Amino acid sequence: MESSIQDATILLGHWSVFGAFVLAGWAAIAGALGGAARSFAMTKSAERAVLAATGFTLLAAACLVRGFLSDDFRLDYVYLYSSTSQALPYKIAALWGGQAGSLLLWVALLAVMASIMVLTNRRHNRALMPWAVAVVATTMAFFLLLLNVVEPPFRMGPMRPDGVGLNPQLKNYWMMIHPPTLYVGYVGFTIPFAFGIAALITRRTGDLWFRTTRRWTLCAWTFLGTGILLGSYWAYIELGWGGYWAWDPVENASLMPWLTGTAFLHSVMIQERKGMLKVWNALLVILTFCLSIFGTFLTRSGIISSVHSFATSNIGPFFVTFLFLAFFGSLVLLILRLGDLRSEARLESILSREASFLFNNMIFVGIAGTVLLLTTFPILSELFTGRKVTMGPPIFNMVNVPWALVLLLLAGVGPLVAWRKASTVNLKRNFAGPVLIGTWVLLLLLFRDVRGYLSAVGKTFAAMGQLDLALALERVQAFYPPLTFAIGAFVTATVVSEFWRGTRIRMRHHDESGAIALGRLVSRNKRRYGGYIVHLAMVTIFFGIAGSSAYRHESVHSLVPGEILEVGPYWMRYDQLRLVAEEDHIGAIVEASLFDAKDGTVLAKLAPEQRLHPNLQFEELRSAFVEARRLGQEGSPEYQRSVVGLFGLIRSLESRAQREVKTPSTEVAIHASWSLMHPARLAEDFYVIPVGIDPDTGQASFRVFINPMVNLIWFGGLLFVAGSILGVLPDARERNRLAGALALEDRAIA
Amino acid sequence: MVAGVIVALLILSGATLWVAWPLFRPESAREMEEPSPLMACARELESRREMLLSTLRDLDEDREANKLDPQDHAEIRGRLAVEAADVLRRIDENRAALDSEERRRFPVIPHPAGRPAESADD
Repeated sequence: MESSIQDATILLGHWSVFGAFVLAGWAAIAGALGGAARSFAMTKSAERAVLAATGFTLLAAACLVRGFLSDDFRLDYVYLYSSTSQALPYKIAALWGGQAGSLLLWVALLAVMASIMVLTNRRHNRALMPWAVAVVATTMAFFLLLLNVVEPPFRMGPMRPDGVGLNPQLKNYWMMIHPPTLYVGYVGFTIPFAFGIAALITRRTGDLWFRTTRRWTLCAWTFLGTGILLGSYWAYIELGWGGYWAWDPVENASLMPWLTGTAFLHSVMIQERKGMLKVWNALLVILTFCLSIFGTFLTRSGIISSVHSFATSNIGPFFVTFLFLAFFGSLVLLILRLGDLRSEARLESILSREASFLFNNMIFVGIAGTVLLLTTFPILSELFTGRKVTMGPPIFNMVNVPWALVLLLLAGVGPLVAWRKASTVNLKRNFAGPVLIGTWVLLLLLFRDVRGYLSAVGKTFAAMGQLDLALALERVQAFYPPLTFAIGAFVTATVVSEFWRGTRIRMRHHDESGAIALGRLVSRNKRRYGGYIVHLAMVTIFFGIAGSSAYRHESVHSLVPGEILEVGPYWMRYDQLRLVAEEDHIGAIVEASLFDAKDGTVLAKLAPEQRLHPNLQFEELRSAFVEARRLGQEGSPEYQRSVVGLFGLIRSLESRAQREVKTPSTEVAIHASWSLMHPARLAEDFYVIPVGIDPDTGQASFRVFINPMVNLIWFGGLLFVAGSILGVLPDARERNRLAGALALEDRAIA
Repeated sequence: MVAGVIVALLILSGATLWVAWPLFRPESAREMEEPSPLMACARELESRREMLLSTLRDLDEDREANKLDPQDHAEIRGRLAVEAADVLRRIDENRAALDSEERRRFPVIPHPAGRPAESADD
């Protein structure tokens, strides 16, 4: 009975993927026909096809999840990414552990969003909808084509007793949160893109399309930003190199659409207020969508090697074709519509908020372009010179950090400058306080190490004298941390002054108390004040990055049980080594105690671990592993010795088989300091990772990092989410504007 | 296996029928009309009015927050107010023209029971 249900599930899943493709294809065609012929019937049919395709896609995903839950190892995908011993949450998360499942998740998320788009616009936007449906359905059809032709998730093989299992590095609870969050971000940008293209095709290039998609854009941007931060945190706690960002291709892939999306969120405000930058906004929405697809391509194709990329595949040519058509097709359409996108106003003054937004847009897009160029440099260099040249983090930092600091500065300048025109008198008056605070912070930091900074100035000028720009840029990096803190203090002061001014004005006009005035100020201008909170979040994140990069300590030590290590303000005592045989791995856990070097108080118990995930396809290894686990469950005194034996067996098997029979991984131990009693250590991490353990003698070597202020990055992430949610929440003023525009549009079409 | 095929076929045919249904309904021949030039103009004017109102609000907020000089504020506000008045006048004119166009397109139909007549698009 169970077997026939499993057969039916596989069949249903297989045909669901096919059915979804046919329906999405029809939705694309019917949408375009409905738009071109202004046919209600065609449009209705297209919309229904999107809803039906969503049902089929979700059904396919459900069938694949069932395959995982029932350990149906006939399915290649289940065999490769699951095993009988895999815990239930990882069996579900294995859905996006490989290529086909990731693509299925991508298209399922897009399908759900497309359905929400169709359902919320049943009575509105009737002129834009056929084309918006056509664009979204085309994207769905493309991904479903990949699932039908290149990466079928329901491909079957012979029945196997057990599966290979998920990559050990992916067996982490962040696996359940990070990829879906990131994917919602990537996928979400499809909806604003679809409406943008629909607006260009129908020549309705006014404000309706971006007002309709404002919350979509903000949601996608929030999810993408959150996904990036979650990914950094995951890398920090899992990969064990003490860092969180390495300018890896997969990291860069997610950063690029986020940067252009941020530029769009700013520049669209100028179009709303002055009818300017229409071409630029359309271009930004096209770029953001194409970079999202490009990001998925980089992550999934494995075209550029990355520590985060867990896939290699032959989907590359399909993606390149789709990207080429999407980008150049949209660009041609944009060029054809240039006449409709003329600005309704001009920039009145260089001292205006519009101008500051324009600068920030140029920098955002400039950084995105630089990251794109440096990320794809290995491909480009191979194409033109036959040699693959990879760009490392130093070059990314050298080029991008100065611009990022200018961006941070603009985050403080923008809010204090008036729209349209500001006078130098106003600027002086409004900026005096924040500039004073920033300068004070800068001087304070410079005076802490006058000699060091004077020497850095000398070296920078010497490099400039030799006309060596690269060396000069490298030397000047010594000033980045104090500059970051100074600019951050300036931005914080401007944002606080904005809240203060707004509250005071409300208190004066409405006779309200301070708290009520502040609450109402924020609740009635959610978008603006949500944006300011995001600016504060960025300051906090920049502080975390500057602190943890500039003042970081890293060292390697070798200890035996009982030995004490002194690192900075900490002592770490290596207490004992414990060996374990768990569900799918054997582990060597170093039990250690962390003390405050000043007074000897115990700060934490640490347990960094080195794991070996044995390949249980080797019968000898499998039986020894099962035996060790049995001894462990029985609490036998032989348990530790049997695990030591397993380490030895793996070594001997590897030398016999001349291949790896295990997958190693490490578990980091981190002690975060949040105590206000030690302000110098606030938000600091003591981070320890084993690099080598001898299970026979207990001797272990560790890499120890002290990462000052690193937790400010994660705290800034929480602030970012809070500010973004505030900006996404319904806003009466925004709602009324959109309702007015929609009512008039509906009357026009009726 | 057979049950799987039957279920898959049933679901697929049900979905196909549901998706194709709008094409065979009597009202399927209806087409969306291209908005008249007057309607398109109304939409543009409304959008302009919204833009001007929000700019005026920003301008006043910036003045209150001391981000803008009183002279600059008065000068820009005056300019925008003139523009807003012009847009409002054009909206009124356009609305009147639209009403007469709609009356022409959808003439009043006398109610059989002699009740006050309603226009067809009500």
